[in-house]
Amino acid sequence: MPADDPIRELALAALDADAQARALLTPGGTPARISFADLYRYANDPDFVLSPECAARLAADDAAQADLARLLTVGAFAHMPRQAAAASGSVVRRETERAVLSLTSSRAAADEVYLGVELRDADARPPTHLFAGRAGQAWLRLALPPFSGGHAQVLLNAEADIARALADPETEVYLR
Amino acid sequence: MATALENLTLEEGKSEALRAALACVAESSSADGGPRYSEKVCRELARSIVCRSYAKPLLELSHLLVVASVRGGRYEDVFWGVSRASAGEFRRSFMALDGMRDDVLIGENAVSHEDGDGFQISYTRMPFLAALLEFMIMTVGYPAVDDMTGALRQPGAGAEKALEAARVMQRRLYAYLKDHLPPVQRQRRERHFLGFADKHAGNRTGADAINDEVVLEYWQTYAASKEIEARTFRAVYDTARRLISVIDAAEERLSGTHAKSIGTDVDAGEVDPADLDVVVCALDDDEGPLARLLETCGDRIKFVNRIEAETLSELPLGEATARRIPVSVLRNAVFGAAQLRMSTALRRGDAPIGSLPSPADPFYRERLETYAEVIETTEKLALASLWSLHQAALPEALDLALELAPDIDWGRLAPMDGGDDIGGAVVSLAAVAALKQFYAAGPDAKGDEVAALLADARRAWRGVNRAGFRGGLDDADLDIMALAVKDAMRLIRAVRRTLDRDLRGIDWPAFEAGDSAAFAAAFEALYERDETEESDAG
Repeated sequence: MPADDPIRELALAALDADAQARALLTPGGTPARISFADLYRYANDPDFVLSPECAARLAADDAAQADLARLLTVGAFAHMPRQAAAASGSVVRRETERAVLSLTSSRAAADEVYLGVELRDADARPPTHLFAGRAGQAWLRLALPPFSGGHAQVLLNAEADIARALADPETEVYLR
Repeated sequence: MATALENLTLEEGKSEALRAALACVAESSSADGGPRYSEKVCRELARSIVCRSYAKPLLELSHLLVVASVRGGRYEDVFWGVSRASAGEFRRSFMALDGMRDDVLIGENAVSHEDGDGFQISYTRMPFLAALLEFMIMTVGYPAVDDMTGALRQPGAGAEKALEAARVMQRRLYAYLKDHLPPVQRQRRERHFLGFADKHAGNRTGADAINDEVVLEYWQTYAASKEIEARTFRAVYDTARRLISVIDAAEERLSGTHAKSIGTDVDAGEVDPADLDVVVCALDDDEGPLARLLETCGDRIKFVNRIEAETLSELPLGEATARRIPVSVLRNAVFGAAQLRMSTALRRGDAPIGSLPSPADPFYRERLETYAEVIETTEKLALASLWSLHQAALPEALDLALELAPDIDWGRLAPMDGGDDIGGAVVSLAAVAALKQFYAAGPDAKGDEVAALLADARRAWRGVNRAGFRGGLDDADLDIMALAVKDAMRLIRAVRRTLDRDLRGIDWPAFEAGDSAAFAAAFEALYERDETEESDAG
């Protein structure tokens, strides 16, 4: 079989390609990334909890953060964008056509705040969780309690990341 | 020098990003913690990336996205709402979309859309297309994929939009791979072996140049050589086996009349990506149905246990290898295995020469008997699975019964009074009636042929005690069994064909006498030389 025989060339190219494919499937030294399947579950299933390992991968991966940011826009119950540039101080109320979010200090404990979620349409299928995030920072997720009459309320530590994020005008929020 | 090193690191970093993207797909897990994509799907994905044969799959994916987006223009839930990327889960997922739009057709085996240019995407194809979509997301990003496929999600998107989207994705992936796919490494061992085979081929060409004499002679010539790694007979045999697979596949592919990709300069030594994909695929096919069966069954349904799998894995179950190098198959099974034991002993510091078969022993013939016994057990398990599938009234039960007992007069199950003559529907009504009658039949060793077959199946079921063949099976087990029994039957056919067509008609006593002495001498020379070299060095 001459060296330039097309059958020989194709056969040997196939062996080279097969070796390359197997090499690519062999684990390398690069840090693992979070899978899109996990991101999807994280965005849509309030019962799904990211393992600490996956959470660290997500936090360290700009591309995955961008994927999550786009995923959150898909099928969201309501989107509350970051406040106008003029806004300053802390935000206590965010409104959209579908829901109102409010932060109220607890009278019983100064270091606690109530997050209230009110649906404009009390009969609408209620959201189960919210995501809050600032540009360049990891998204935070909070599971919402069951709604009653279009209302739900959660008690948060005022110093918790999620409470601080919700009070920050630079934060955008998705109800899902 | 520093620049060269930096460049090397940069290049490695780029290919590592590709490796990480593929690893992410391969390691993606389902809700129960098992792999989301099968090994077969991951291999197919890597192959299509390396061969750059993703043009057609991306077009299929585009058509699939048209169908998957009928609910509110979104496709994500169809793809990632399923836990495991399997044909069964995708079937259930698409069935939930049935009737949502008139221009989308959700069938029993495939989906399509009205302006789909004849494209039908089967549920069995979907796991690979889902992996390709996830790979696209891991490489170019979900926002980019979402944007590129936006037009497909509009009502009325048709073949033209699908083609446009596929081309855009193809260009984007091409650009990514241009930056990230490392250059191919030429496989030196195979080229060396092929050069040797060509020199000794005489008038033989193609894969015919590789025969049992060439395999043995090559090993005897180069086992102790430092020129090439050919120390074990098994490695040489594997090289020969792989070469036979690809040369045969390349010959068949290039003699075919399929359409060639535009832009491939064959005269300049370029190969068509589609040709390359098909020929690489032949390497997987040579592993035959055993690998597929094991992958489908996992630990849940043991059509083949670990020891049986190890035994059967000695047989090349593709079309050509056992036909071309039948003696090497058993040489590898007997002496290749013996050499591995010797190497292990040597590494442990034990005496390297263990007991080898004596020339008087019928060791090759005994090995053939072992294969036959193992496959007989698999056949018994297939019969046992008929009982389970029949009890669950799964359609696979009838297919299996037809295969296990083709001589039964199945016509008597199709009643001629089975329905009104309403145009062409009369046939399917009869078929439905026959199916009902088959599932209603009970086991009776003294009854008609169908009842007797079911009695045999029940007896086989009761006589087995291994995973998947005892107690009540849940739906997931039955799904696996229904899928796996096809591979089990393929395995049975392939082993029987290999034994009967390729391996039985050989004068094994003559080879047993000759090989025993030849391998003993070769091993002694090889491992005594090692000991001498070690003591010289010491």
